[in-house]
Order: sequence, then structure tokens, then C-alpha cells
Amino acid sequence: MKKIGLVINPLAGIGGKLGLKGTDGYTLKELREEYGAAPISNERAAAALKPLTQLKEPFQIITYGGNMGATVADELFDDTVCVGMPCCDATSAEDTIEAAKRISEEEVDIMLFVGGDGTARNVFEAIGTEQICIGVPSGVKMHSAVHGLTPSKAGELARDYLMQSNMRTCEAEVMDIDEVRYRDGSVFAKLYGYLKIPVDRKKTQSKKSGSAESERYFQDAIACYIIDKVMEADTYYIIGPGTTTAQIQRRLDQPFTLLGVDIIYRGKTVAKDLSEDDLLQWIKGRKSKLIITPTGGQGFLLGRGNQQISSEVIRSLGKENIMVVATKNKLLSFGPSPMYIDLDEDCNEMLRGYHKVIAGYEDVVLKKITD
Amino acid sequence: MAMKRDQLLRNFHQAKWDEPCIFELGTPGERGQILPEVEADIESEVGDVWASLPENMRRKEKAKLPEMAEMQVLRHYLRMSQATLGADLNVDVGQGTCTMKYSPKVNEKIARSPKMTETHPLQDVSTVQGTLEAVHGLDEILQAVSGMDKFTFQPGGGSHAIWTIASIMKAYHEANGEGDQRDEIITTIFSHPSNAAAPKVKGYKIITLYYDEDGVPDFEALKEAVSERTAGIFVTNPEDTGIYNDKIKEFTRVVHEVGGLCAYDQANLNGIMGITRAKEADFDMCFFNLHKTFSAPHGCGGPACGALGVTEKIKPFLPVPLVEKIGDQYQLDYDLPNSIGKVRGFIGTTPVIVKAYAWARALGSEGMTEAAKVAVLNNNYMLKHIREIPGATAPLSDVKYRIEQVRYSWIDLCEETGVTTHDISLRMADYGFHLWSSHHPFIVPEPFTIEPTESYSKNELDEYLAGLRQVVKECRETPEIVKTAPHNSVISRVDETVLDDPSKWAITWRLFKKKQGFEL
Amino acid sequence: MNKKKFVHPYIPNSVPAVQEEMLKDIGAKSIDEMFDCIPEEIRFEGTMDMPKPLSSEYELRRHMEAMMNKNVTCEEYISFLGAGCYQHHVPAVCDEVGGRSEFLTAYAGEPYEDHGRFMSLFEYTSMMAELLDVDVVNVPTYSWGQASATSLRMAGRITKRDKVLIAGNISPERYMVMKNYCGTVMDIVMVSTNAQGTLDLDDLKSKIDGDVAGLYFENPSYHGALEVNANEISQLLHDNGSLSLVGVDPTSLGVIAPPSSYKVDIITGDVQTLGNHMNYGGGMGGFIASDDREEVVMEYPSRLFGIAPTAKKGELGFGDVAYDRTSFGVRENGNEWVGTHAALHGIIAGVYMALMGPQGMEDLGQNILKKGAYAAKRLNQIEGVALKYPETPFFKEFAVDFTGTGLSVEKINKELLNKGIFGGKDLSKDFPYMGQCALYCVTEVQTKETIDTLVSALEEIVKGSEA
Repeated sequence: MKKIGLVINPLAGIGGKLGLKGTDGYTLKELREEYGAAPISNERAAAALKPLTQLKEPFQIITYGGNMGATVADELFDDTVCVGMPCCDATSAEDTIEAAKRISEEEVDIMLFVGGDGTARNVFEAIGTEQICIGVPSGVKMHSAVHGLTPSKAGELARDYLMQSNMRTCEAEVMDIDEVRYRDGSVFAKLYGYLKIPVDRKKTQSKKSGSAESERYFQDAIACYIIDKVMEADTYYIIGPGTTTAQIQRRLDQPFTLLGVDIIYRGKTVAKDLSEDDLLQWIKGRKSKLIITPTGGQGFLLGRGNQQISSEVIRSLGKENIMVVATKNKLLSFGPSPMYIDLDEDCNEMLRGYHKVIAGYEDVVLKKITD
Repeated sequence: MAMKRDQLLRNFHQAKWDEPCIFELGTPGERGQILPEVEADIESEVGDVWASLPENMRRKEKAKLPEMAEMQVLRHYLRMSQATLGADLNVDVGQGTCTMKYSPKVNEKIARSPKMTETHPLQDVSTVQGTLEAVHGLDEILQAVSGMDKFTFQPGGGSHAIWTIASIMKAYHEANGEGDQRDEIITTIFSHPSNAAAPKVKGYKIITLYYDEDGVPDFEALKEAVSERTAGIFVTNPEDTGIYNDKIKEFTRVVHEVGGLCAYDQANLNGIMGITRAKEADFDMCFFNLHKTFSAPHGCGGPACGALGVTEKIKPFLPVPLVEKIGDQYQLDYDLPNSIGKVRGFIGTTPVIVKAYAWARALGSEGMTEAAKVAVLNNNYMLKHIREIPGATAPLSDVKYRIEQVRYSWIDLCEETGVTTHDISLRMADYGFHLWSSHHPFIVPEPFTIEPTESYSKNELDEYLAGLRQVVKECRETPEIVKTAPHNSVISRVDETVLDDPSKWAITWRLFKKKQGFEL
Repeated sequence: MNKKKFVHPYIPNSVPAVQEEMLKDIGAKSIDEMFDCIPEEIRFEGTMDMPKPLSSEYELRRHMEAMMNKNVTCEEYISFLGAGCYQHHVPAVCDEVGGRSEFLTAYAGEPYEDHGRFMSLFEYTSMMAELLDVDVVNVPTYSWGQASATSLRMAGRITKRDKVLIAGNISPERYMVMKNYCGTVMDIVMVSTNAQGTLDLDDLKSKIDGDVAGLYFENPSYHGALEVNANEISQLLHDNGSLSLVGVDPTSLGVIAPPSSYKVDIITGDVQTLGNHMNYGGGMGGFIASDDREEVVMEYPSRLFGIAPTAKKGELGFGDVAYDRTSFGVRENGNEWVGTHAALHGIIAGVYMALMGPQGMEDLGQNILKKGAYAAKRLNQIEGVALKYPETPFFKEFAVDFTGTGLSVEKINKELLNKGIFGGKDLSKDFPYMGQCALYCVTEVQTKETIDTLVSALEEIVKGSEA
């Protein structure tokens, strides 16, 4: 029998109606008192659950108490199981993390979570990148890539995933937006983690030119090109965070970290998840090159958000030893805007301007880097 | 004068015959064609020739083709033609980039004459002077349209023309001793995927330019991209977005300065005929899709022709043979020692060439220019009205006018209602319309591309707009009907999941029967 | 000043009043301002240098007919030309379906409103599959040459090797296409023909090595010879880890063994002979076919249509078979390109195969075998004329050696032309080792009478030279 997890962040979505850019740092009580807000997360959850009624096989909803899932689930379905209760009405991040953890322990086939970037971060902390899930949008602007386009689309994706035997999945970025500073006007996005979500086939279809390959295909093309044509035996390759860079290690059948900085030498991973100091030690006196990819929807490449690859590291490497890789779709997601770096001024000066981004096999795109 | 009806929308339903696959029709023993008898004298002279063949060359079991009588075959195919929405039947402005203009029926009559159909390409040229006159005539006309010096019609389509250009670039640079040195081709992110794919087959590395804030290819990036490794640039202008790159002559200058060649993908010629030419923008090569701008019909995806024109310095590299006029005789010239050889047998898709020639003769310079202008007028009429539909946008640029087509986006509508561009296309089919999205990759999210051409009347454009407005209304009021569309088309929504699964996919009927991967 | 405004039947909105209405609606003064984005220096002024328009359909038709009437057709003369384009009977139903406006003017719609297009192409591939005895066939590409060139690249990607062998007795035009298509990324080595006109097996054995991705040969060969050693050829290749690639004539497959019987990996050919008119060489469409082996199917560049269920039980639906083509050869990336090819010719070929059915294809083959044998026998009997490969079985075409007459093929064909006959293609320039040979093609459209006429004409020409 299929098991479907459901965790709702009751705070999510309220901010939007009030013109707030997210609700981190407020409690539900505060929001109600100050702004008179009512939870809309249950509505969103119901919209997402509706497509599941089309499932032919029996299934069970595994969820958390009260407004964190049970209320909505009980209304729609008979077979629901509640694995815990939030501590009180004003739920917190800890509740979300605990709920996600417990639900995942029930070995659900897919977990739906209702909320925005903050909720996505909590879910990631709880379950990591192995458990398949899908976000139901309920917050304001989504910087993470883990949500369906709308609540019902998220539900449809979950339904399709359960019905098909071989639906593709991918790792989608969970972004850390400092919401307090965001409210004050500055956007500061950092890659926080990856969640595994199903991939919608319809997004890759075009009747005139046949099928288009998936994102994984292009990441593979990049990896193959780097391995076949670029890598040299005497060079240490620093692999920055991201799924595109990790594909190199996947292709070589080597261990990797999605979020950390690793090093490959002669086709093998020789170091994983290095700190800035470790990194500087490794490359001291050794021929080294860096392979990085922009993360998040704003094309962020290097700087404050990436503590390990610091200005010092960049300085020791030099411009000609830095390679940028990215799929064409990723590059398109920034629109005409350039990729951003935020290092010390001398490093910014060194990297400013057009760069040949490796986007496939012997296929580059010229993209500007700016600070 | 508007249609005398209360509303522009039709109560449309496409023909729905629920027709089985041909393999489920017919009866053993039925015949659709009888062959002429072999004369008794021949039989007695040669005997059972088949029996004298080596055993391993003899077919033992008859091919398991359908067995149907003549009218039954005809009926089956006519039903399928009714299940196909050709441009002749519908207001076909929604297949952007395809230039779905009118294919004049008089040209069909001409091309179906035995004087075309029953001629063999290896006949002595003295016996095909008519055909060669048409081919040569079109060559000269296209030279006038483009400013180029010679055309070949060998490529079988636009992508094939791109392949031919890549081959020519390779040969040209090799002749100059720079074949190995120049291994990079520059193109743009808006280009048809073949602009990158075909040169790759030739062994080139690709550099892609993205767009800038004005929605045109980034000129600063181009300056960074060129070097002594540049073989050439492939560029389309206007791009499929409909936005014209007014720096185009700067683009060609920069590429020429490093010794590269400039190739003009003119799949989007329809809005600029008689207005601007490849020559004035300093291109070395250009191609036209005769099955688009020049009215030859699309044929469900060919036969077609990518007419490729080049300047004098490139001419020696063209595929052989070329059609030349010597005195008052037309000849096939095979004497091009630097030719790239051939990209296809014989001289090309001759009926398409003749149809294009006839169309060009019917319109002349004045007519072609008028066609371009009306195509642009029609497009901007649609642009103005589509911009007014809440939820639809024409992204990338705020210019008031675009050329002959526009790449729009439904993203606002999608975020609001959850309905996708795919859903909307399928619901448009319920009103008797096509609506196409875009090539990959999608530059704009949830795209749709509309190219009215000059062939549709104002009333028809209004009809199409009414259809769009109706579907958009439904997205907001009754989204389910759009998400589960089509309802008035030939079939219901296809379950495409079986097409992804190697254990289930069935590319032929017999494979379907073998695998039994799913039930219909 | 008041120039009569150009209004044309193909351009409904060329009516001035309509243009005014639309301009007003848009808020533009004229259409010209819509071209303001095009810089002055690249604007074209004036009229393009071409003939004045023939605005009336009557004038246009007369002009075109007068022009085309300068042609002589293969119905007016007797034609024995083949060499890549063939004269077969085209059933009227093929013309009828191929001329249907809907099929003619459709293009890239969805498998809903264009369901008929998808279904008729799926049926074409399915019928081809039966004729070829394979499970996978593509939607048609430009030509046989393109298809066979593609099969070479596919072989390279599948085996990850970059040398290909090509039989010396294939079509020179197809060879030129292949050379241009593969030459920059693959080594091409020719395998010679023996005195019987078939592949020289010793030469083949000497050239097979660990770098060979595959061998391409044609059956029948360009000269019509049946490749009687096909089984051994495939065996030699497979023992070496190379692929066997063959180009075939679909009209032969009613009587000649399909390539599956001699274990071919990728089959290519042309659909022109299946219901498509010669059209001066414009009736082509290439097919690529194979078994349903994942490593082969993954390398097809063309679109592959698959059948699928719909929301309604029992209903047929179609779509593109989509999968990640994750193979990256050392010098390859991705599978060529997809564009507009020759779909309508495929649909028409489907109509043809449905009309002919199993018995029709067999009868066609028998017809061609017998008439060909008769023509070959009678030509062989002419003084000074001999079959080039008298011991080799052939289908539809055979090489005739005129060296013994002391006349060149060029001279003979000129004389034949005066007598209203298109003689066989001159092979002497492309295959100098064959001498003064011509390629004679005999299909079901010939009769005893036309063949006898040819023989009499040649006898006269040969005798006349002696006088």
C-alpha cells in the first residue's frame, strides 16, 4: 500500500496576504494579533491533496496533528495516521523538523510539505536528499526549486509519481534566504541543501523538434566533456557545490558531497567537504583548478554565501584556473542578468567580465560575471 | 465586413472516426492493386527466375502487410486526413516559426503534371529544359531577393541547409589552410536547435550567445567570443521572438575581422522580403525555406527545400551539380573541383522548387514586398490584442512593434491558475486551432509563438483572438476543462508515460503486439 | 501620385481599407514605421530585380505549362534509367491521398488535432517494419544517402569506433553524401568488388580490424547485383564486434530475402519506389530500420512515433518516444539534428504498401525478376554487347558492357535518344574499371514490346557503326 506523507507549516502563506516577505521570526499568535491573519495553508494543502483521490490503488496519509496536516487529511481521506502533535498552536521550525523526521521514518513513498523556503529548509534538515518529496507553494516568492507551480500541480506530480513505475527524479535546490534582511530590501540567497523531487515529463516535450533531453542529460554532457577533454593527470580539481558539478564525480563513480567542496585527482575523489583552511592546504604548491556552478535563481557564483571558496582561494588559483559550468536551462533562468560574485575587490576585479561557461560537450555559453 | 454571426467562436468538433489501426482492417485475400501480367513469351523465355536465385536470397514468407481492397484503403486514409488539421482548413496562425501561408492550388496542378512527375533526373538535359528553366529562374529570383550570387537547392530543408553551410565553412577554411585552426562556430540561444546540432556533426565546437536587456543577442559577448578559432557565425534575424537585432551589420563585421564567415538563417524571411537583404548586412551565405516563405506546402513534415545562396567567393564550394545557363541551353555543371560533394542525390526536391518559382512569378517584387508588409501588419495587430489579454505577455523587449512573429508567455496566467501552455494548446484544438509553444530550450517560461503571415484575413485573425480569449477565460473560470482538454478533437488526452519506458514503448504495430506492454 | 494599390488573391489584407482599419486599431500611421528598427544602411530600396508578376492565374498557368512542356517524359519515351530513381506504377489512390489538402498542408500540430498525421506515419513505419522484417523504423529522412550516412555515424556511436568500411559497388551519389557526412570524424575505407560484381571477401577480411565500426553495403548493389555472400559478410563483421549495415530496395522485398535473414544491424533505403513519382529526383525519402535493441534505438537521430493509450479505453493515441540519449562517444555529442524531412513521402509509401499487400509485393517482385531476365538475355544476344556480370543474380538493374561494339555508351545513348529511348546510365566515368558499361533498369512498367523495341534499336545502332 502506498504511503503519502503530509506536513503543513500553518504560518506559511499568511505573510503574502499581508504584504510580508515571509513569516520567519513571527509566531502565529503574533501574526494573528498584529495583522489579523488567518491560516491559508490548509486550503492550499486541500488543493494539493485533491488529485490524489484519482489514485486507483489504496493509500494511507501519514501526517502530523492539528493544523500541521491531520485536520485537512481527516476531512478528505479515511485512512490517515497521525505520528505526533505540535507542542502548541503557535508552531515553530522545530515542529516542522520533528514532523518531517517522524513521517519519513514511516517510509513514505512521497512526502508533500506545505510552505515556502523556510519550510523547505526545515524539511531538508529533517530528511536530507534521499526521501522523495514535493513542495506545495504557500509562501510568497519561492527561491527554492522544490515546489510545484501551484498547489494542484504539486498534487498532480505526486499522483503521477505514485502511478508510474519509473518517473525520473532530480535534486532540487533549497535556498537560504535571509528573510529578515530580505524584508529590509536586500536579497541574499545561499544554497542550503537539496531535496529529491519527481521530474515533470511535460516540461521537456516539444512536438516540433521531438523530445528534449532532461537536465540530467546536459549535466552528463558537461561531465563527459570535462572528463574526456579537460582533466589532466597532474592537476587537482576542486569541485564546488551543486548537482552539475557533482555529476562529474557521479560519472567517474566516485563519492561526492552536493553541498560541500571536494577534490578529484586522477579520476578519484581524494577529499570531501573541505573547509577553507583545508582547501588552502590542499592546493598549496599543487597544480589546481576550480570547477564551480552558479546556484539559486539569481545566478550566484562565489562570495559571502560560499565560505569554503574564499577570496584567498580564488587569489591563489588565478583566473585561468577557474572553470564555470552550467546547463543552458540554468543559465536561462537568470534571464539577461549576469552571474554574481562577492569577494574581495581584487578578486572581483580579476573575474569581472565575460566568461566561457561550459554548457555541454564542446558547447560553451558566454556569460558575464559581475559583483 | 465581419462575419454575420453573434460570436466569432465556432461550435467546432473535429472529425472523429474512432478508426482502428490499418493492421486490424481488411480480410485475407483482399487485393488493392493487381500487377500487369508478364507476357507468356517472356515466361517461356526465362522460366522461374526466382527459383534460380541462391537460396539465401529468396524470401520465404510473404510480408505481413494488410490485405485490403482499393476503396477500403482510400477510405481509411481519407478518415485520417480528416483527422489532420492542415493550414488549408484552419486559421493556422498558431504554428509560429512555420510560416503556414497559403500554398496556391494552381502550383499543385503544375507540379502534378506528368511533365514533372514522369521525368527522371538522369535524362539527357536536352529533354528537361523546362524543369531546368524553372530551377534556374528561381535561382535568379532568389539572388535578387538576397543579393547573393548563386543558389543551390540540394538541401532538403532548413536544418539540411545549415548542415550544408557547416560543410562549406569547413571546406572553405581547409582550402585556406585553416581547417584545423578554425574549429568554433558561434550561434545564439534563440536559434533553431539545428544551428548548433548540425555544425556539431561536422566536428565543430559551439559558442552560444545569450541575450541582453534588449532581448537581442549580446554584442559584447560576441566580441569576447570571436578569435582566430572562429570558423563562422550562424544567426537568425529577426529571431523567433520577432525582435530585430539592429546591430546585425556590426555582428558580421566583428566576425569578418577575425576571418570567419557569416551565415544567415532566414527561416524568418517572410517579414522582411524586399525590405532588407542578406547582402546589405554583409552575409556570405543565407538560406530560405521554400516550404515556408515561398509557399510550397509543408507536407506533414516534408518534402521540403532549404535553398542556399552564397557569394561569389563561396560558390566553388557548393554541392554539385549547379544549374547553369550556357547560351540558351540549361546545363548541369559538375565541374566544381572544390565542391563539398553532395548532401543529397540529384538536384533537390524539384516539385518544391517549381512551386516556389511559380509563387515568385505570381507575386513579383511588388507582391513579395506587399506580402512581407502585410505579414508584419497582421503580426502587430495580433501583438497589440494579445498584450491586452490578462495573463499573456510578450517578454524580453518592450518595443512597440515586432516583425513577423512573436514569442509570448503564459507564465502570469499559469502562476495564477495552474494551467500550462501545453494545456492551453490542447484546449485551442477544441476550437479548431493549433497553438505551438517553442523550440527548446524555452527562453521564456510557458511559451507560445504566433506567426500570422499574410494569408489570413482580418476576420480570421479576430476569430483566432476570440479563441485565445475564450480559453484564457476558461483558465480562470473552469480550469478543469482546460486541464483535461481536448474534448472536441479527434482523441482524448494521451497517456504518454508508456513512451518513456523501454520495456513498453512501441514504435511499430508489431512491436506493440510483441511487447504487450499496455492495453489500449 | 494615385498609384493603383496592389491587391492580391493570396493576401486578403492587402485591401487598403482593411489596412487602414488595422493601422488605426494598432495606433500606427503606416506599416513603414513597424520597420523602423531596421537601420537605414541595410534597408533595400526600390524593386528587386526579377520578372514582372504574372498576376492572373491564367497567365501564370500558361507560362508554367509552356515551360514544362519543353520536357520529354518517361511515358513519352521509353526509359531504362534507374541508378537511384525508379519508374514504377503509382496507383491513383496514392496520388489521391498524397494530394489531400489536409495532409499536404499540415505540419507540426499536436497528436490530437493532427492525429491523422501521427497515425498514418505510424502505420507507414509499421508496414515498412513488416516488409523489412524488423521492429523499429524511423519517420522518413531526406534520402537514402542521408539515411545510410547516418547509419555510419550511428555505428560509430554504438561501437565507439571511428573507422567505417564502404563497399566499392554502392551508388557514387550516396557515397558523396556519406563522405561529406562522415569524413571529418571517421576514417572511410573502400572494400573492392570482385569480378562477379559482388563484394571481394578477401579484401574485406584484410580490412576488418578493431577500429572498424561497421561495413555499409547495398543489396542489390548499385549495379543490381544481389550480394549472395551477405550471410558471410555479417558473420565476419560480428565476429569482429563491428556492425553490418545494408541499403536495400523495398520493391525487391516481395521476393528477395529481408535483411533480417542475413543478420543486419541497421537497414537503410529509399521510399521513392513505394508509390512516389520520380519527380526528377525529388520523390525521395530515406528510412532507417533496426531491431528493438536499446543501444541501437538510442542512436536514432530522427523522430520515432510510438502508440499510446488515451483517457478513453480502446482509443489509439500517439506521441514521440522520448528517452534520455545518454551516450557520448569520444568525438560525438548527441544525435545529429531533427528538422523537416520527407514525411509525406512516407505516408504515401504506406498507402502503396496497403494497396499492394503481401501478394502484390510478391507479384511486383516476380514481374521485375522476369522482365529483367528477359531484357538481360536479349541484350546479351546482341553482337558486341554482353552482360558485365553474367553469372551474378540481379534484381531490377544490371550492367551491360558495350566495349565489344567499339562505341562509347555516350554515343549509343545519343543514338537511342534520337529513337525515343533513354538508355541505361553511363557507368564509364564513375567506374572506369568496368569499361564502357551502362546500367539498365527494368521495372514492371516495361513490356515485351518496349524491351524488344530497345533491343531492335541497339541492334541498329551497333550495326550502323560497322557500316
